[in-house]
Amino acid sequence: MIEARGLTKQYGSKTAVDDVSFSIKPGQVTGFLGPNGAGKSTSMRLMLGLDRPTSGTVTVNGARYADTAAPLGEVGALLDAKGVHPGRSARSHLRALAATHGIPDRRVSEVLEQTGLSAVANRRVGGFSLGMGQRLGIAAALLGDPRILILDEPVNGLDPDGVLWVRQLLRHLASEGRTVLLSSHLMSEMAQTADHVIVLGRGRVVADAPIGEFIGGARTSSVVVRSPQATKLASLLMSAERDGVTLEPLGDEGFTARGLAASDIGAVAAAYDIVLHELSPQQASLEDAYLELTRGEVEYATS
Amino acid sequence: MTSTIVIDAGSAPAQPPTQSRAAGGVARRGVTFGGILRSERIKLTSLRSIKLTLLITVIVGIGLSAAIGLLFSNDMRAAAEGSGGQIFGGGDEGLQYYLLTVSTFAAPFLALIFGVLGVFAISSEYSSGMILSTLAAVPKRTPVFAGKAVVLGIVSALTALVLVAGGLVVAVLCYPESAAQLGTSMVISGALGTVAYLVLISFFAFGVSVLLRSTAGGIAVVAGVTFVLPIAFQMLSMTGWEWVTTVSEYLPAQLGTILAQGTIEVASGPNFTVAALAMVVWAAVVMLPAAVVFKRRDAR
Repeated sequence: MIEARGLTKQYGSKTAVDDVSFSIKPGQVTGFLGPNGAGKSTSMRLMLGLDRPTSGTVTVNGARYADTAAPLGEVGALLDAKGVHPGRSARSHLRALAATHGIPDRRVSEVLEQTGLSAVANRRVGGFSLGMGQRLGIAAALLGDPRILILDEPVNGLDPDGVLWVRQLLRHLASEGRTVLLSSHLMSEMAQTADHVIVLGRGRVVADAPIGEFIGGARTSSVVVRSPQATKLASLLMSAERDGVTLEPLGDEGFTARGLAASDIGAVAAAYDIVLHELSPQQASLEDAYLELTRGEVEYATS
Repeated sequence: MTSTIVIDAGSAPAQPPTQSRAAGGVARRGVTFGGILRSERIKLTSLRSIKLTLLITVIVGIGLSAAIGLLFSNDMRAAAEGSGGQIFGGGDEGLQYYLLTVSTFAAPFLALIFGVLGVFAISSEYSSGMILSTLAAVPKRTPVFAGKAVVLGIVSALTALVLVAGGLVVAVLCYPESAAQLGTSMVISGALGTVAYLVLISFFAFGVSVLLRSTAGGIAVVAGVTFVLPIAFQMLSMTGWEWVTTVSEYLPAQLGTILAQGTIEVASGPNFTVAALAMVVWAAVVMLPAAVVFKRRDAR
């Protein structure tokens, strides 16, 4: 269980996390979603006591992380910055972390095995690929057999097999009753892994809901339209006085319409004798829901 | 070529259940200070650059002692035969000077390497991001700071001891008649004074490096204080201002020289004990604020 209450963090005059409250429950995978600069990584740093909150609190299993007797047994973390000295071998890195808690070398070998790094355990980390670095980060997170896992972009740089492996690992860890929090910008990945999502935008919680509810709650769904007279149909749809209608070109003879029902488009086409080749309503995806929510919350939008 | 290693990802998905014990268990032991010391020792000894630096320091240091020993032992022999020489004066005291000069000759230069060691002990964690892993594992930060300082102190002291003891052995090999003076309080205090000086320089550098969080900045400050300041004060002394002389006597390089001479009577300026205390103050003045800042600051 991770609980944040009124959590706020300012860096100088910039507010990275702004009065955020949430509870992340054990036994399920919770996803942190949000554009860059939304406060995901800062929230994770605050959970681990790496940064001091400007105000508010965040606790892990009921205690401030720094006050826990066996921190690696409470929380295992993979942070965005790799946090490994390039001149050290994977095994030495893990042994150094394990030593603080008296975790035996046997366990170091175990997590190396589990993350598929046994063969390269004695190589210097500086020569690792991004994917191998991620595996080492996950190995470090698993080291203390923690009750909570906090993983910032864990599938970043992994090959498809690695992505599948992480997904299964996280689902398995959650099924054991652990609290699993991951952030990802890959929304399709989140849709397949997370049970619950917390969407952040500009340091605030924009949404906090089970994944099904989250996708279902997206207001706009879209309709794919294909027609030899797509341009005419598009201008007819846009000329009608309707709010919130957007059309997005889809090749030469089609577009994706948002804010319109398929039946309305069909009726307009029929009224003007426009031939339709396709008229298909699209199920709102996590991506749609996310884009809908974070519209206007993007810190570094391209203008 | 990115990687020739097959990570066996195909079979990996079948493996997660390896960790099927109930949540919790492995790390229930908790953090201990002994564990932190072991962790810091592993960190230092698992870096090839550190091991290489220490090895080169010892080789260069003892090599310099050998060169000086060969040079001065000829002078000692000439003096004993009454044909010239007389750098160190005669008698037991002359032999003690000889021993200390040969064994601590390289210390002022090696001080910089001990400073670099102190800087690297912490700046390497900041530059690589390792500090995040370190502080995530031990979020109560003061034990980490203390553990790093203890391990740095032990490594510096052992290295300095090997250097000075090696220098003494070389001095005796070059001029065996000096062996009888090894146990005198002057030689022992001079040797230990040099060890203390080098350890305290590494602490000073460590503190500076924690405050600056930068390898280049840390080394610049340490080199500035140990090498540049003495020269600057030497030039300032031409002004004839009295405070310039007083301050320059308390710069680390000068204190190191005093400590290397052992407990002898001094005509003016700080004696051995005062010099030792002054060096401790130099280290403490940066270590204490560094400890406070290390505890309070955001880790990055």
